[in-house]
Amino acid sequence: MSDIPSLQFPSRRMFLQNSAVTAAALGTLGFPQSVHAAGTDVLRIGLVGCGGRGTDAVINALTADPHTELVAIGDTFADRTASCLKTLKENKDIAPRVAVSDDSVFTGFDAYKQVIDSPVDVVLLATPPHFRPAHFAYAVEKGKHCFVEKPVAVDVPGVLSVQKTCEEAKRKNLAVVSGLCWRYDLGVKETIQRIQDGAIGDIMAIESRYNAGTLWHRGREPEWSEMEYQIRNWLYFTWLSGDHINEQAIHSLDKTGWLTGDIAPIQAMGIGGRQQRTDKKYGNVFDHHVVFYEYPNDVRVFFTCRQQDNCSSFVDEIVIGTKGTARILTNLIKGEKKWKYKGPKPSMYVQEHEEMFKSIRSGSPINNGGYMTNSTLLAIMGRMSTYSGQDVKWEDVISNTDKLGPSKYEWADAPLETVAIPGMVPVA
Amino acid sequence: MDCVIATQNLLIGILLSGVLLCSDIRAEVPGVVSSPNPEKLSVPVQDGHIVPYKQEIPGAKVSFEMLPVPGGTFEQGSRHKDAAADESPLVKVEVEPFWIGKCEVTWAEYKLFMKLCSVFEGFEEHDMRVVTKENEIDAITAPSKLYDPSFTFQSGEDPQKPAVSMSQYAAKQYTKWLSLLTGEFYRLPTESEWEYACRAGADSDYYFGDDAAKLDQYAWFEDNADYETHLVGQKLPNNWGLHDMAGNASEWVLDEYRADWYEKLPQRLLTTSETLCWPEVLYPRVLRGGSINSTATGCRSAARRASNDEELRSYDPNTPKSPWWFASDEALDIGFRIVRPLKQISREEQEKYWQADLRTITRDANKRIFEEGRGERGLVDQQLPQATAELQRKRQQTKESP
Repeated sequence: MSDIPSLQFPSRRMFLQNSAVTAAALGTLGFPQSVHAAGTDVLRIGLVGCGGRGTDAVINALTADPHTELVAIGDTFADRTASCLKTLKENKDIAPRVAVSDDSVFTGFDAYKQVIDSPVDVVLLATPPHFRPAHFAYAVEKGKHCFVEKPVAVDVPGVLSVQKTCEEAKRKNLAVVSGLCWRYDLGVKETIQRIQDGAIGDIMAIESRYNAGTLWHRGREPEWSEMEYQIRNWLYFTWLSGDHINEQAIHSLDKTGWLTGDIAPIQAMGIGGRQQRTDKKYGNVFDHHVVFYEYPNDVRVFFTCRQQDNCSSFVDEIVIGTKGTARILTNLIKGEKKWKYKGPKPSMYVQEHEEMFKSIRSGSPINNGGYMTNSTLLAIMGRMSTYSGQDVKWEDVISNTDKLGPSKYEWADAPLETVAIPGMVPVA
Repeated sequence: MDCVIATQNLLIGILLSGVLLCSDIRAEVPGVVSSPNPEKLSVPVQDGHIVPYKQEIPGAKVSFEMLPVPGGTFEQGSRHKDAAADESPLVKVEVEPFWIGKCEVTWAEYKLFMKLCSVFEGFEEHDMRVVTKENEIDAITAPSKLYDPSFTFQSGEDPQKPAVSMSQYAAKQYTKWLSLLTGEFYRLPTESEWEYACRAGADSDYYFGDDAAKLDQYAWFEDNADYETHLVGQKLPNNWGLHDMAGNASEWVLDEYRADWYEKLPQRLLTTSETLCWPEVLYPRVLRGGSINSTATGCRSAARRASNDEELRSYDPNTPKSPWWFASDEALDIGFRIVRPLKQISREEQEKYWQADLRTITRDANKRIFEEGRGERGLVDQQLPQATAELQRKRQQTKESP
């Protein structure tokens, strides 16, 4: 059913079962990557993308493993690297392991190369998603373990590139840990495990909502070029964020993917547009999308996402099974017996880094390539349908060759894309 | 000095009421009368009576009820041998009269405050009500829009459910907004005021006695709440008419939490200013009143809960973390209720009850607002509702123009 069978791990549990075999098999191939299997060697970290998420990812990483240090950071903008470093140095718990000096702070479009070329073992990739495929490919080419923020791309060629890189990472025994953090949330994990074990019978449908308010806007300074303006306000430009269905609501789609076994849907029907965020300062993204995904065996996912103020908000997946229902983020199952997760809830952000470092040190690094690319494709598939107004088949998705964004990055003009009008634009 | 001001106001009020033959001492002062309605709760104070009142929030069709609390003395803490260590020794406290919210602050009220983020954004865009060095004393920071509402609204967002998952700083900024908008001084209670109001004269474990089996009639807690907050005011009130003091949401007070605070206080009758532990650290701070996640023991009037703000922010994906919102299941039961002291204090003194008390809070708020575009700062005064309406007209015009 899927064109990328080699990456389709039906669940993380199954992946973990397979990984021992993989690692053993790889051991004979002679890739000398697991140099830190010893346990207490210091793993050196580099950060690419110094926004709030990147900064927090460093704190998560340094918190997760005491034998780590941050040695290089990079961002397109100097003010972001400065502010990131200041914040990190003010955090007394981790400051002693922030070993970044003036000559290991890099800025500009090529900052990622300089960070990756620094003596780092692990790279945290946290820029706007447009840049992820290139950054990830370079990091794996250079033999670095990667923490890869969500989503992994904004267009299909980008996802396909990431899939290739994941394969290469597997061959080189490098970690690929995804920022789809709910996969590492203990409450969500156990809830989904119970559903997979039959707590609500077979899944018939999932109602998935990421209905929230609007997000930040960073304004426009007179000295900024159009390119700078767009990158600083990247949420609002489809070529940079992939639209909010991809940038934000992927968390919801990822949970529907997880529940349906991380397989490809058959087709999707989407409706979307923008009603509240019509000003041109909001670029060309929509402010709402509704997508119905059709899976084999007539399983349906009814998905909505909205970024509008003063409207009802709700974020969760309601799973409807033959023998009950469940709410994922609420960790609640109403099957034959009612159940709610009451176990520990360590920060899932720290948890994903803990598991990453542990897997690197054990010599069988985690590879989340399967679901992180599949879930990004779900988001792009939804957007293809909401933008075009056409029902979209999976084959149309994976064969799509449209690349979003300019052909080169420079501080000058940037493309001014118009807002899609369904029925008047081709599937893209 | 403050007493003098208060007395003067009340005296003027009495004179006015004599002239106007009206029962209100000062028509514009809510909750103060010279001769109370005998059927209503009322508390005699120096120059009249304080009574329940309903305050409409200017510019909205939302109101809240405040109930009078008589002045008096009480023993704070638990008198039981098996009480938690932080509830003893008993502390003798003298409390001055005040009003307190009949219920916890609801979403209907708190959402008006949340909407300010978008309103302040609009003011900035239209160069209205610019914050300057001269007027910034009247500025507040409005909470950022929720990035992921799955925590905050896990119990739904019914207007009559208690507002939850805000930080103590956000709750304090709320009281500043409400005060500047209504012209009356509102703030969070001190820990002593809270316990005094909760006990309503009872020195038993609960305000209805020592029998935990009766708790179901008085509180939403672990045994009956199904881990969700419920509409405020559904359970039986205490002797002074206050609902949900023992359950539903835990409530912020002004104090830093120190387990040995009672022990360190001098052994004599203390004022509420003397028992107030002004925070010197970000956390722990005190939460009072049981909640949907509390066992019966946690719902006792003396029970103290210490916040762990770092843990409460553990699901916030960004650094610096939001100074206004928590993101964690542990915050789903954190709300607050407001008080209004009878005794007036100066504008400068009021600031202490409202503003960020640590530089790091201000730093994080400023960073979020000025560098990230999350959250906003703006002025609050009694013209705010009018200005908001004007902004809406302007926004409408911009939308309609091609």
